[in-house]
Amino acid sequence: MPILFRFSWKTVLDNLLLGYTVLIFFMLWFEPQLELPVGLQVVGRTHPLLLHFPIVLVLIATILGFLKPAVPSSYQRLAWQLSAHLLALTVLTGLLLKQQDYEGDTASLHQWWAIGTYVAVLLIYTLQFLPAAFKQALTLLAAAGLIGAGHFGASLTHGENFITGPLAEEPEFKPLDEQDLVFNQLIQPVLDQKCVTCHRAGKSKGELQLDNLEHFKKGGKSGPLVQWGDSIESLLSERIHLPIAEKEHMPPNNKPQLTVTELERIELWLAAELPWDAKLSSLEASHPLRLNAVPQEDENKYTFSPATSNTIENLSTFFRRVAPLYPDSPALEVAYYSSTNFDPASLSELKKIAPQLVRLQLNRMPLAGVDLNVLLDFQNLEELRLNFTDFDSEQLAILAGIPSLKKLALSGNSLSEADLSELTRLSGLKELYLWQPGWEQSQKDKLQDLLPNTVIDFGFDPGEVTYALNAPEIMVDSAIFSSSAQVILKHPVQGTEIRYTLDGQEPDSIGSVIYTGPLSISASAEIKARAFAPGWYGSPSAEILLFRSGIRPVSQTLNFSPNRYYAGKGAATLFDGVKSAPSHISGAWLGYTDDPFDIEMQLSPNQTAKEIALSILYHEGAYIFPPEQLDIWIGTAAGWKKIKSPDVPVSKETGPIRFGMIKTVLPEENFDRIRVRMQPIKRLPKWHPGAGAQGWVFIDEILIN
Amino acid sequence: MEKEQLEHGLHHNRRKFLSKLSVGVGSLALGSLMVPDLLSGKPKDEDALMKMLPHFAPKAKRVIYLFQNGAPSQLETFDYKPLLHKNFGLDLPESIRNGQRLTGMTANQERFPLVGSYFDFQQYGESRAWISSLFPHLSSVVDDLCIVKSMHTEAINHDPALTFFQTGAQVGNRPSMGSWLSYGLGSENENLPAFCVLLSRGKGNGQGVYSKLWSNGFLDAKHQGVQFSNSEDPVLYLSDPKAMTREQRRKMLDHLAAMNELNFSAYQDPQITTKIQQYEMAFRMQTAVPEITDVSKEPDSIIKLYGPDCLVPGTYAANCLLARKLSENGVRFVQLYHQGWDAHDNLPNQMLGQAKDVDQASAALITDLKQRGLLDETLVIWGGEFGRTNYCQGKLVPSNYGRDHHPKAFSIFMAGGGVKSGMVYGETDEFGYNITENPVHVHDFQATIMHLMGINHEKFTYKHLGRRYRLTDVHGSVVHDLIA
Repeated sequence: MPILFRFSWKTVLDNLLLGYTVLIFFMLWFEPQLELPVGLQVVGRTHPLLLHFPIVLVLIATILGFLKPAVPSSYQRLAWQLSAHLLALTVLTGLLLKQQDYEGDTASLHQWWAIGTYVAVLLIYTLQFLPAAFKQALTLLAAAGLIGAGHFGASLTHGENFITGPLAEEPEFKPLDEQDLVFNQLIQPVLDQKCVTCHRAGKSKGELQLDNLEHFKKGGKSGPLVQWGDSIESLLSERIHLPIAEKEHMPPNNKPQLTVTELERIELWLAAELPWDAKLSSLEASHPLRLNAVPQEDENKYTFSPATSNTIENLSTFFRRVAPLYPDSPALEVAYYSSTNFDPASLSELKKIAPQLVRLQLNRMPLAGVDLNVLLDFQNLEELRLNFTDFDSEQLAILAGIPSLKKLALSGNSLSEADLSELTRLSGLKELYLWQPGWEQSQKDKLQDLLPNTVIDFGFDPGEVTYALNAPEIMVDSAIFSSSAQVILKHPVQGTEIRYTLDGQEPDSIGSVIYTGPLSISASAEIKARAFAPGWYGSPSAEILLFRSGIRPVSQTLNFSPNRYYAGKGAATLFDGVKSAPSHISGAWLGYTDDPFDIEMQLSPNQTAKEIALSILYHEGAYIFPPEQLDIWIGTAAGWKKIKSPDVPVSKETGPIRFGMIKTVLPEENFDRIRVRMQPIKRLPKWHPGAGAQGWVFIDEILIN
Repeated sequence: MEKEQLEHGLHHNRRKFLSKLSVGVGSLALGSLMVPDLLSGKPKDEDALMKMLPHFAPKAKRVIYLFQNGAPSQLETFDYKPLLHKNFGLDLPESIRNGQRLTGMTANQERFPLVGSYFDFQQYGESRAWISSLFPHLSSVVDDLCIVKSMHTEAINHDPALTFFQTGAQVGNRPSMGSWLSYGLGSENENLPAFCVLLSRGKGNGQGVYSKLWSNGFLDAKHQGVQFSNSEDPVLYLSDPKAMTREQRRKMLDHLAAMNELNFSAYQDPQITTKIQQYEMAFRMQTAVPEITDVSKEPDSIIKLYGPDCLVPGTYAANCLLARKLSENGVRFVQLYHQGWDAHDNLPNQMLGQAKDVDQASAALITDLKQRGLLDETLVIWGGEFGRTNYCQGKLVPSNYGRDHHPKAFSIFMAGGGVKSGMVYGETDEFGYNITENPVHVHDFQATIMHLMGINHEKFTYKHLGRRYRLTDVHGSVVHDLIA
């Protein structure tokens, strides 16, 4: 009868070993995603207990391995089997423990050495058929691995130099010895902390020793560390400031780095260029080097216990954010948003987190008349923001009872320096934001005297400066109108006075007409408007051209075709009554460069033309200039008669793209046709980047009245 | 026979193999209990990630990025190079150019005549930083600025360079910096989007901005930048139709939400919940946004501070003021773009106009944040996508010239938000062409911003199409020298 199942401890144990192994490699693979239930965290914490077993067992198995003839091989197998089991358990619990607390180089080194040991032991146990020499090599590897893993593990729990620790001097805080050298008192301690492990007698890397002043002066292989006269360029400065990834950066990137304070201290010391024998007593009390050496209080250390996440969640609403300063910080910040949804009573709800509340933001909440005594419960409140809250002096007196306040923002409230004198009770107040219009310099000085330890920001004072207003806005429906056009002038700043002209003259603040309401314009006009207000310089002028369309010619002929790229719809474009966009490529402009613009217009006999206006484009950057020459003729069937042509503007610099209007009054004579000829500029002026090249003329409308 | 021997040596046969296999699978199953979503096929819960962020105490809570689109010239703003005046009209030495690729716009130029700044430079403040006469207002706040003169990028044309700055990749479709921060840190104020975008343009030669620059990429659509328009309705489609009361809107949303809930219980699609949340947020935005965009209650001194243009919607000044108001109300990332800096020709004129647009308002933003006690927690960034060449593009006359694109060195500045104030970082050679000291790559810049916001840029990833993406790709290191 075949045996289907036979219980064997060995099988169970071997299977278990396989199970452990798979689990270990699974955990390694998915390490970043592991999330441990609390129970497993407890299991992880048995690691420091378990780890002693494999140490002993592996060592026993190793010794047995080398006593081979004397010890039966079954004992050896048993020893390896037990080692493998306990190693597996140790590695597993170690991986669990690592999830909770540990990271960094030492932790990973410990982990991988331990896993290496485990793999070696596993191979020795499972591959029994291997040649003995091979097994012995593996045995040695396992033993070495064990020692390595043990070393790094001990470093993790006990610190780097645990064993030699008692030999090292206790670093303790001693008052500075005023009679000693600055170097010994301020610089050597930094070197002792961060440099001498590698740069000392016995381990002088780079032939450099930093254990005392004499050695420091001597420097190392690359020369002296400090070069007085140009101390900022010193080797010392270079090495500590190199990017950490650089090989020559000191301390090396796997060693503890200089802290910001330490870096700053060395920098200050180098910059000060003190003589070597300078005594500490020679430094004034306010010397930056001395201030650097004052132990800094750690502002982020809060000793109170955190609020429960439930409490925080319950207090959070859409209009009130309650959150820790950063994850794991017990300190909380609260910010109120949306003044329309502000309920003053909700402030007292914060009593539940009174000990934890360190920052409170109430900007723009309507606090007028609100009882702020609740704030007195927040005894750890450091930062309070009350900008634009209609805050009054009585409420201010309450604030003075929160001694923990360090930063207070009161901008945008009307408070006097007498009100603010209450704040003298806040001895820890470091920053005060007090921007509000209308304070005299003497008031500012007085308050600053009252609060000598507080940095007060009085903000921007508009009284000190005068700027120009921006140009008003001119609003019309269309630049071309038939009988009359309504023009509205607007300026965004309240209380400004707008003055305007209709003839293209620059408006001034005295003579020009003041705008009082919408203008009704009935003739072609060049409107310019400027804004003026007390406390401001007058604005630049805004301008717009309005064209009254009247007589349309019966027929018209262009003597030269426009450039083929800018041909519009031919001559018809000029009389379509549409003011085109200020862009010569819009297709609504006729462009000329090689040929002149030359048009003959036939009027109907019963029409009398009094005025002609040309709507043209200027854009010097695109070589579009006013015409070099403009000629106008009137005529009858008998012939043409040249009339005095109007002045043509001359471009003197590159301006923005803009419209131009050339307008002239026609003589009171009998005529039934008009001819206009514009010659594009032949050679662009010298100041232009394209000097010497041919210019362009662009026209989109001709308006005859 | 050999097979049997081998099996014996390994103590293995099929029965053993199968029995061991079951042990192995059992172990895997046990392990999988520790990785919650491993076998569920669900993506990792976003909320879980949010709870882990920021990684450490942030120095800045909010960012206002004043992007100067088109690339302002560093040589006319912050990088003073007297040598270019001395060598006016002389050719750029090949030893300096070193074979650097040029754009098609100047690559075929016969000569590369050097040209110095049309504008004078002076040193300002305690930092003694050189700033040109284009920026009289910014030079008055110089001690609040942290000027980086050694920025460099990889792209040489606007669109890729801009996209690179904003998304960390030159091709589109990656999430923008603001989207990453919205995703990682969420909004402080739940009544406003975490990422807002404001556009303006100057009169200089402009380059387009496209919505891909504020795209959420592969992140959830709620992290997309919300573009504010210049009209009376800054957020389009937000206001109710005329004659619709708020109660009616509330009722309508309640019914809609009930229907969506029904669908959600049937399909369990998380997008449906997102949708419900977004409708609710829009409802709250209906009161929150008008409260913020209304500038009529700003005191006169603010109008003076930013300049009267701040009352003209769509100007850079108005956007700066709005940016302050949004930021003050807890918007995590406000992105401005001011177009018109692409001065290939007529540079002095173009830059004069552009500088006039941005100088006062940029300085005002810094002053305004400061006087409210907000500057220390708000990071303001000013800069373009690359720099401009030290040689002239096109015809060179003393009063007029142009400059082509130059990716190898350019200047930006930051202020507030945990960066050192009154600092000038990095240096370029005498020609202003190559960086000689402390180069800052775009990825380094992005890493530094992340760091200031309390995020380790190497750990802040999103898995998409089988790989994990970062804003900084696989590059970037935090520039600790810039951090206060």
